[in-house]
Amino acid sequence: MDRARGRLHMSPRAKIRDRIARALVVHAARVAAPDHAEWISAIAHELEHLPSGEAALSWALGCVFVSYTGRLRVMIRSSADWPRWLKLLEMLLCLGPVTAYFVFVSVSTVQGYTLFIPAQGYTQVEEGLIFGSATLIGPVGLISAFRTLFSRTYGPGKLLTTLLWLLAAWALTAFVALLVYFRLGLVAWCGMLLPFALLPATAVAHLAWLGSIRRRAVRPA
Amino acid sequence: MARNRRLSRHTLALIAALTQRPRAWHYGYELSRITELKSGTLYPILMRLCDRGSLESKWQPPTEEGRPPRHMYRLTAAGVAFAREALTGRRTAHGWTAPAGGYT
Repeated sequence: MDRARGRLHMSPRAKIRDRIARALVVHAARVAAPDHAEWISAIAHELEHLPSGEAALSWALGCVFVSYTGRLRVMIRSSADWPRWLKLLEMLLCLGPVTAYFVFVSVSTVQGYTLFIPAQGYTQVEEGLIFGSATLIGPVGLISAFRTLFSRTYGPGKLLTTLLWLLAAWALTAFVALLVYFRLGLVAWCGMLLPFALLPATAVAHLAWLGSIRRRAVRPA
Repeated sequence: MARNRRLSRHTLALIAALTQRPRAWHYGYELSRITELKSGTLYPILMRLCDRGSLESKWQPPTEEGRPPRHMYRLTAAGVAFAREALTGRRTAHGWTAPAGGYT
């Protein structure tokens, strides 16, 4: 039974799901990138031929997913055309704080200062090595970003991109472990994960994208 | 130039479903039921197949008053050839096989 006929016999819960599904496809249509609009309306129109309830809701969620990913793809593609100063600003904002922290950790460790209350069983040097390596994404990413932005042909290769992703993952792991170990609150989670994990990961994603464009550009036809 | 990428099992399942009646038009929901793919997986594959010229689409005007038009899909001639090649060439690699009765 399709929705037009089935709507008369719907349970209250199915009616709510139906309304949510309709609201979701309307939202998806609003968010859709112009070159995706026809596809989003194809998914939205098909909703009218689905049974009400869970299937319709799942279909509508898929519609939102397709709309969001399409929009995101357009945004990422257009970022390749950003002026150099804007890309540079993005990289400095994303990798600057973690680079500054890397310098702080390195200097503190060399001079023998304690970074945090020493964790059980860890010496100052070990702690310095852990957080120095966790923030290594900063200087490595920044050097790679400068080379990419100021060279016409250079782009991070697959090996460097993989290394950057591994460093970003390690940064996330180390800072989550720190937050869990000291049982810190939500503000500390946001304050640490944003500059030391999420922003560097964003920079790595953008660098990887720029690198893939450069590789495609220099690949022989 | 289109890149020769390894096809996912979802793409293969969709291609197999379309190949059962290659010259017939299919609706999105119908394909979703046959392949058991959710709309969020199905439509990006349909878009890619359309982009590479393997699939054509059209809007079917409403058959009943008050109903919206429906988008329909069909393999192109190039798409049929691509589908046959993909299904014979990749079936073993993916360990994928069509249901015993085929897709109907």
